[in-house]
Amino acid sequence: MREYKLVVLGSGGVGKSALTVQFVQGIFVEKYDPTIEDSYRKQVEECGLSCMLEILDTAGTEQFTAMRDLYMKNGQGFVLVYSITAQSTFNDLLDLREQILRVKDTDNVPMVLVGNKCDLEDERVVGKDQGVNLARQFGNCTFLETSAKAKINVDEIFHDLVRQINRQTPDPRKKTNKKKQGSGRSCVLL
Amino acid sequence: MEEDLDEGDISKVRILESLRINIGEAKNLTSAKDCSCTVRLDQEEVYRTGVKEKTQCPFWAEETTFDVPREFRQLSFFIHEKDWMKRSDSVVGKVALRRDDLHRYHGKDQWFPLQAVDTDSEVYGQVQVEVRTNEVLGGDGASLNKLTVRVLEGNGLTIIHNQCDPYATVTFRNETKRTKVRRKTVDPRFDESFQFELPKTSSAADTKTNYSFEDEANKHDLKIAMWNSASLGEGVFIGEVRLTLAAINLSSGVHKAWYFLKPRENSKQSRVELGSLRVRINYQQDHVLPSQYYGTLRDILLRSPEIEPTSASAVEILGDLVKDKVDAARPLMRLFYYHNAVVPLIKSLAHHEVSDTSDPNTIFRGNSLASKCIDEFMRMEGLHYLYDTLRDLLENIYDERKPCEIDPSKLKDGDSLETNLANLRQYVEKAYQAIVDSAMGCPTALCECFYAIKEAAQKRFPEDPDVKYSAVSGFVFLRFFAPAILSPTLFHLRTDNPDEQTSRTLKMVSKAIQTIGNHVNPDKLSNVNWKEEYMSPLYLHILNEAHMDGIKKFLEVISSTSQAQVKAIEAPITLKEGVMIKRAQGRKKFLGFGLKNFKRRWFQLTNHELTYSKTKESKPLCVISVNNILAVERLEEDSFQMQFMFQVVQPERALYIQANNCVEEKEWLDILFNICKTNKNRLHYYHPAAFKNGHWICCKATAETAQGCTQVTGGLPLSICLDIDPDRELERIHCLFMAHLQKLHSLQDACATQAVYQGLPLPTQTPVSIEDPKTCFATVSSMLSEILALEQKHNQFKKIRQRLTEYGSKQSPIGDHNCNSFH
Ligand SMILES: Nc1nc2c(ncn2[C@@H]2O[C@H](COP(=O)(O)OP(=O)(O)O)[C@@H](O)[C@H]2O)c(=O)[nH]1
Ligand SMILES: [Mg+2]
Repeated sequence: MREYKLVVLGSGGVGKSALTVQFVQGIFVEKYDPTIEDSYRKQVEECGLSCMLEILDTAGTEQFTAMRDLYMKNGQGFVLVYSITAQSTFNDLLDLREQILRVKDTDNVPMVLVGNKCDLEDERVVGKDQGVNLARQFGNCTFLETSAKAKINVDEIFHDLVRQINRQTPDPRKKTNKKKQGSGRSCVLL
Repeated sequence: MEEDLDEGDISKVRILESLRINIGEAKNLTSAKDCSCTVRLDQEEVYRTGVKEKTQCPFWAEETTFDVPREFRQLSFFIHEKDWMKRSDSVVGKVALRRDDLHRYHGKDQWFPLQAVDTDSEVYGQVQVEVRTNEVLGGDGASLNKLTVRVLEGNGLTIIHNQCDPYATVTFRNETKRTKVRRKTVDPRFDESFQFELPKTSSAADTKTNYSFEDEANKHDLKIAMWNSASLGEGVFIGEVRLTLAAINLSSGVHKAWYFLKPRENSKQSRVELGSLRVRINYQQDHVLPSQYYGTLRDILLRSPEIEPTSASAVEILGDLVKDKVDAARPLMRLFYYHNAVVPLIKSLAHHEVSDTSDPNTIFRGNSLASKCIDEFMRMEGLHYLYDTLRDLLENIYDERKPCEIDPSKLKDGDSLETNLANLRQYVEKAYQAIVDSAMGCPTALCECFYAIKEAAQKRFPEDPDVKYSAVSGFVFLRFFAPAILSPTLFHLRTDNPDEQTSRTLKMVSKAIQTIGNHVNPDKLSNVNWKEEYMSPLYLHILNEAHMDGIKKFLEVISSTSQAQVKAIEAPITLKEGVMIKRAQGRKKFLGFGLKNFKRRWFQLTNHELTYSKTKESKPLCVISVNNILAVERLEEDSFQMQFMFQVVQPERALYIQANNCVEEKEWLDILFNICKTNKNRLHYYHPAAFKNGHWICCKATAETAQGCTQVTGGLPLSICLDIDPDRELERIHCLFMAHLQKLHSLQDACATQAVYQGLPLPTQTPVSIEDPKTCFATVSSMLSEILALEQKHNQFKKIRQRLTEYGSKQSPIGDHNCNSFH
């Protein structure tokens, strides 16, 4: 089975753990301790093939930057999360993305931009258009507004990321399956 | 601040440089050997990473921060690989960056291609030459033009294989002449002159005024080369200067100047791919003016805690301007610390921050100015406390190396899950105990700061009984104990980087401590079950009622101001430690001068004493009470022909110590110097050189007890803040404001507009929401005028300095555009 190393990044309190645990365990918990570094494994189906996702949920505080370098190096796909209720968490992402590209030494890194807590429409301070624009600035990466609480768009984040990774480095098994699968589906290789 | 910058003040302007270097990783190295990376200031190694085994892409992620102790032109990184056959290092390649280019890479990770290292291009140092033309009468009575080249001295030449026995050659047209060899010096004095015959020209007047060989200019190059004398064969090239007579101004008949040495003519940089290196460099250069110029800026900043609303204070405005809050938090905290005003500031920042928080679960979790300031303060005030609390635990984990992996998918063959769990539990219990037992040792100022945090959180969320705990533990656990356990080197708790297994153990202990520190309420217990499954067996054991009570009590004690400050007998605090070389202290009159008198020792300085021992673990061989440190000064290099030497003067004798490099020398001197300043018996005079062969080298006095001949280095007035330089911090803050001048101007405009149109819909969109336009306007305006006035002083200073710098002097040699650098 092919393994995918995914990393969830963003400031503290934006809902990285909530999103990850919602995806992996299917549950939302009101209170999590601030994370240091947690890793989860989950098997999913994508385009008829099973994939093993290894998801790294990270710390939002900068005390842990020494580790950040390491998972930027090892990660294959990145989820960049902000909260639509806090402008500063949105502003932090520009630098984070730049550092990923610099560490990876390439402009093409599978990435999803996520505006979380979209169930809190009353407290919104980051407009959807701001997210759309930032995604455009990030080389047209995928942008999703999500809610770990209301379970909106959570699975989509991770599936999209897997598809991006497949597009960038095709799954070797895919070649043998290609004929059977036909070419009509969205996840077929370019 | 109307008066002009005094010319006399120029000498008081200090240029301070600091470097923070993060060595990330290398890739595509040509072979997979054991490799390490060193950092060099010019030729001198100042940092060395750990060794990564058998890899073509070593990953270090190590960081070093230091004040630059001396002038340098070039910062470079060398990748070394261990060659077991030769039992020595060989250099794989390097990255060399000119100091003047460092700002271009500031704060960003960057990949650099490695360059080959060879003696033809590895060139440092400078040389002073004098060129003159004169007419002499030839044997046939006709006048002849002679060119006289005098090689005066060299400075900072390249050391090859620990050796430098330089000589110089002078080549004019095809004729080469050479100086004598100077032994064992990188700063040779030659003062030898050589004469060459110049080609005849039609008019003698021409030659005198402005020598020009229009067509043949390049053919008549004058070349001064430096060589390192070898016992066999030709010397090894160490640099050269190439001059074109046409370009030299000989109008006065004489030209005398310092030149930077350059790589060999036609030396080709090989284009072979050697791999690349990723580093992140923060280079900061501050021109710190004399204190009196910063008075107003200081007062505006220090007034911040009293300003209502907080958002209209200078500190908060600065925090809003800068993107990376640490940039503002660091100088601010150091400044407020120096003026003993940290707690009121943190109080106002904390209250301001919580007023913006709507969910008690996210309190202080972002990277705000308040959280960064508190973080900074914990590191300044709490490092000794941290060290005392965690030292034994870390020593255990590092030394015992018990396997602790409890993730079944990562278990090594032959390891047992139960044993590992028991091992891990034991470490976690030890960590827990060390932390709760340390409550009374927590520095008072930190307690006051935690009290302010607790109070702010409770006031904002009065209905939440646990928020006072989570707010404090969000600092003391999440930002202090947990990261310190995870990466002890970053908190200076250890100097050695952990191996892979130890790292993993540290990570799990750190996670467990963070979890314990956040659990004060049994209701929330079930939550951890949804996190990583493999950790639950551990949590099952450690998240019990007794621990929760213990944590609660701990958090209560460290966040109360009324606690009886009865610290047990004050344990000594380690200030600095490390390996250095010391000279035998024996009082035997006729010590030989062989190297056997110099030994490597482990030095440790606490607030009570300076000691040294054979190794870190062994018993001290010598203990010098701080009260007996009468002076601490550099030692002249000539004394033992050794660099980086300093002396610790005691009543009976002096201890001579050699540090490993210039950075460490400065760090030891600074801290020892500060310790000594608190000493009532401190000396006023000392000997700058050693006592050798029956006399003091410096003043020739023959009595070993003769009073010193030179006044000790003067210091700033004594202060509790051992190493804070408030003017430097104010200069940093000034620079931050300058970097955001535009934003500051628009903020001022926005305030003015809002103040005028109060209550009316705003005519233009303002960039920020302004709570109180009037107060904000007042702060911004006073700050703007102060910042601009300071900047004007800086410009004046720059102009005067430019006027005083002489191109071609030793301080500013000719030809600084071609060092061995990349680009
Ligand atoms: N309303 C709402 N709250 C959320 C959502 N996601 C997370 N939270 C809350 O935000 C807080 C921080 O979440 P957490 O996952 O720990 O953030 P992290 O630091 O990024 O891992 C918790 O109190 C969560 O309950 C969401 O989608 N909607
Ligand atoms: Mg988290």
